[in-house]
Amino acid sequence: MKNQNKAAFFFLLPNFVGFLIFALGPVVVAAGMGFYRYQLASGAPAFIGLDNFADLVLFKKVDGEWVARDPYFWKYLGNTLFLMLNIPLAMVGSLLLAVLLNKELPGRIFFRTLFFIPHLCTGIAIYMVWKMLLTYEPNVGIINGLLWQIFGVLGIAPERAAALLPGWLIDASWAKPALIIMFIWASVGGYNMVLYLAGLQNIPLELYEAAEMDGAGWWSQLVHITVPQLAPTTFFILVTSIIGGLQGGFEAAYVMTGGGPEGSTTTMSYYIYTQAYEQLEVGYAAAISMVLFALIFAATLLNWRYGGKRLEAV
Amino acid sequence: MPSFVRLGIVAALAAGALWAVLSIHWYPAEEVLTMWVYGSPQEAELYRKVAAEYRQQHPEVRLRLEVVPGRSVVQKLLTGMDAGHAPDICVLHWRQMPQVASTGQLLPLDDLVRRDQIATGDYYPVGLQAYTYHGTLYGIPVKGSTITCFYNKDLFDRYGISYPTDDWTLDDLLAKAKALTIDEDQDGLPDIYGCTPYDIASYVWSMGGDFLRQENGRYVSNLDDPRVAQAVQFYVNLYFKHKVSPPRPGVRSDNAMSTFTFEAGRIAIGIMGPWMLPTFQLLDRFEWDAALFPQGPAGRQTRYASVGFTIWKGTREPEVAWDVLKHMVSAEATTKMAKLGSDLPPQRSVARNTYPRAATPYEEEVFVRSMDYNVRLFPQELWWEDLYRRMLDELDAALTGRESVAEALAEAHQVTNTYLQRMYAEEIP
Amino acid sequence: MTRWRQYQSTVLIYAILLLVLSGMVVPLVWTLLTSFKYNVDVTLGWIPPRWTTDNYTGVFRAFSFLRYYANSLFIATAVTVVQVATSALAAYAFARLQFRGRDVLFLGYLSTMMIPADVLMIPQFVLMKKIPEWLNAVLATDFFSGFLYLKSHYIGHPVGLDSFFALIAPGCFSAYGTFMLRQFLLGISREIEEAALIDGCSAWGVFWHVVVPLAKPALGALAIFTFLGRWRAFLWPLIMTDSDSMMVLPVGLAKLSDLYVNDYGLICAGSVLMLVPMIAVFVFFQRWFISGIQLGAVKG
Repeated sequence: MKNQNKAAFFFLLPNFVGFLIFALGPVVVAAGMGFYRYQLASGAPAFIGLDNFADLVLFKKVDGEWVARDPYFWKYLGNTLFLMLNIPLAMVGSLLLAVLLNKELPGRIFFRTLFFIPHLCTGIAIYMVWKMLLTYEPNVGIINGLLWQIFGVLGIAPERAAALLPGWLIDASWAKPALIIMFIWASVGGYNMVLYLAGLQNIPLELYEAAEMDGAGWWSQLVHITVPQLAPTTFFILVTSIIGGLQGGFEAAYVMTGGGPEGSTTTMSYYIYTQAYEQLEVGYAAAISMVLFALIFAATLLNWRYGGKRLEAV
Repeated sequence: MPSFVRLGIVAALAAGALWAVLSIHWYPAEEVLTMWVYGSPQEAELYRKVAAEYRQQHPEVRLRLEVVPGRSVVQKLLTGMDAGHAPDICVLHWRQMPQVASTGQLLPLDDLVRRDQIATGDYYPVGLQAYTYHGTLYGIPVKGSTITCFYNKDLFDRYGISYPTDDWTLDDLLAKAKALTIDEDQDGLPDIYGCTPYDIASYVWSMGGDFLRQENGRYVSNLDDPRVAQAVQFYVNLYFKHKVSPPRPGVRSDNAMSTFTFEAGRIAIGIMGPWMLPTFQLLDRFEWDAALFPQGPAGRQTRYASVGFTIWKGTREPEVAWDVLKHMVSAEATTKMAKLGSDLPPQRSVARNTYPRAATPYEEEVFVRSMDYNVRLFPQELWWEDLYRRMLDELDAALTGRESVAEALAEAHQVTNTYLQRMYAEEIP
Repeated sequence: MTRWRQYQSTVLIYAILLLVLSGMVVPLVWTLLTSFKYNVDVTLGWIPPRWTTDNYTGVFRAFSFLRYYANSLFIATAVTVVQVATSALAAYAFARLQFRGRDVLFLGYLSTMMIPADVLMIPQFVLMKKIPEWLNAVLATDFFSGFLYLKSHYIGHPVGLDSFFALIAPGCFSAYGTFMLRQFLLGISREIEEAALIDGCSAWGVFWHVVVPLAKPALGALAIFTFLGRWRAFLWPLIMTDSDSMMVLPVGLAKLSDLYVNDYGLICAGSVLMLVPMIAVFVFFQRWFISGIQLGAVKG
């Protein structure tokens, strides 16, 4: 195909001007901040090369043992990655939901709207309700209340039953799974569902008709037509979810657990925020951001190479 | 639509636009003074009124008052200061002070206070200390109070427990909390808990301990002090051993939305402060009253909380800003503030004269008396909030019984010292 | 027999939908009920023990709620219209046109989404502060750094910080929207476009007459996302504005909370009032999801 430089220039121009000024410029400055000892509002930043990055990711030997220079970074990074387990599960849920809601059902607008509701409510409402659901005490917490009833029916003594109840938000090993359950619930019917719904409109009906003639069932149609046809949408959802996952979790942790217990729900975004605005170490916060950036970028490239490319080949 | 109607609409729109353009005034940046405040809607309303009074007395000052979200004010303020664009006057909570003051962006007030002979002797000393950073005064409080108790009289009466008195101790607190943790429907789960203990600091101090101590002018961890262990043990026992307090996610999370709240009648003793009074004013489901925080072996040592006014060093008009600040924290202003009933005035005289309002069913004088004991602050250092968070995270393991208090404290001790050493090593002299 | 099976599957679908749904509306119900509670009753079960409309009147009394509402509506609408347009143009270039450095530029677009906003805010604030200074220097005036007053009320700066410019302009250009529409265009078959090109249509003609109608579902989705995103944006307006006349709803709601004490009743009342335009926008644009290729296929 002939080169379309000129047309491309005009199509890109309006977006590119704003992009250059409001996005790329600040991003380059922010990236540069990572190389400075930059105390917010406290005088001129001093160039320190890679020191911030070294402090962040390197290990040192103490008493013959390798320990991280910044153990909190690794701990919070681990927390953040763990909490991102909700992404694949929520994506599958969104896809199934979108397929269901794409059928010619009476009242589907009503259903679509209501499924989107968690995204319309303020975070506080969602977190408060989940806090109530996940309260430990079975005479108050709804989920543990149900479990308590079941234990009662099974004939488990109250003392043993109390020990069997999950600690949800008050137990360091249960807090992350509790948050994951909440995140899945919150993201199944949200943006991803809308994106899949929009993507489903693109799939030519002839494909399904042909498959039906070949005797392909519902599942086979889903796997062989719907999923491959939606690959570009899936790529978009995956990349934005990874970005959201690595940068998110601050508000939920702040309201539901305050980042506890034992710091088990403190995420990178919380760490960046406290480093920048509480410790005033903006340079360090920028360095953390750059490491996150590298992670996201690598994940995106991998996806592009091996996931999305099949349909992207131009 | 007839053409004259259309013409009329166009004419009206044009007139409106013309009016808007003509009535818009333009002032150079030097002439406008900006003040940021935050607080409950009632407080914001009051600040507006007080600022309006100032404008009336000084029509030449173009004072602009903006209400900002309190929880985000430090982020907003520091981003602005970094770029050289900040309000001339700003309200700050005492725990936000070290962050802002450490940047050197606040105007030192010592000389102005001396010159204008502000009656500093009338202020609760802790109030001015809270706005002092490394020996320099940067702000004047407009309200301030300390931790106290609220108790549910109905529950005390129903189960025949005596009310807290001024000389009650931490042991009494435990005894009463035990007696008032009640499983009313006999299903093996408590329906009423004895107490919610609030922040751990007041317990550590009242037992005679402290988080840090100074050695050769530098802070080191004091968590190896047996009195700290005693206090943490007491605190943890409330949750883990005696189970008189409702479980919560960690030592530093307050779990404000638990169903087990004082206002729901499910907590016998709620340890909080007078800032809850505006909420509790509608609390008429049961009789309740206020009491002092219990005494420990080292007396009654509780944490302070306050809000005050500060001035930006970059202000174009420091004298005018100082004049506005004086007006905002004047006795008349703090008297009005006290009448909202949410907090104590920072001046002793105003607190004695205005604060205990006669018409309340609960004893408001307790809050004034609570200020006569040892009211304390955290170390006023930039790194404190970060370090405190990490300290408390280590103690969580004891709260759920995963570790003993001794083990958790040993880890917290080590984390604290490592943190402080790294901090001092990085500091460029 | 087939009808019976169809009936069965419909019932099954409804059952699944209703089951999931019952969980979805719970926070909405909680918000609604809490908005009628006094703060002191918030933790006292779901049904308000005493009903009150104080929270709603309180929201209007606490600040100029209608002004914030109008601001939010204006900003969200303006940003949505412009952003969808600029994103669609750029997405078309990235998805369909051949030009030098396309993939590198696209990755550059993606990169800007990968830096956390908390860090990005610092240079962006400086930029917003500099814009009027640059304009002043270029035009040899000091107009742009001045304060505008309507009578005795401050209403903002002409440009830069605390102006509609700051609230609208940066939102009009978005890597997110470009990325999303590009992915969507990649999923559309090119046959119709190529046919149009062969018929002698220009790139613009193809874009306007073929791509835009086909991309309606995605444009609708982006419109929903952009509107919601702006309607609920907190950090950007928080940092960039401080005056009451530039205030938007989410920042206004945050002003209702004191540092450590939340008035949940008040917050919930504000949230309920915020919900209405969001639902309206969602219901309006989701109708676009049934257009595009499938509709054409059914008709043809």
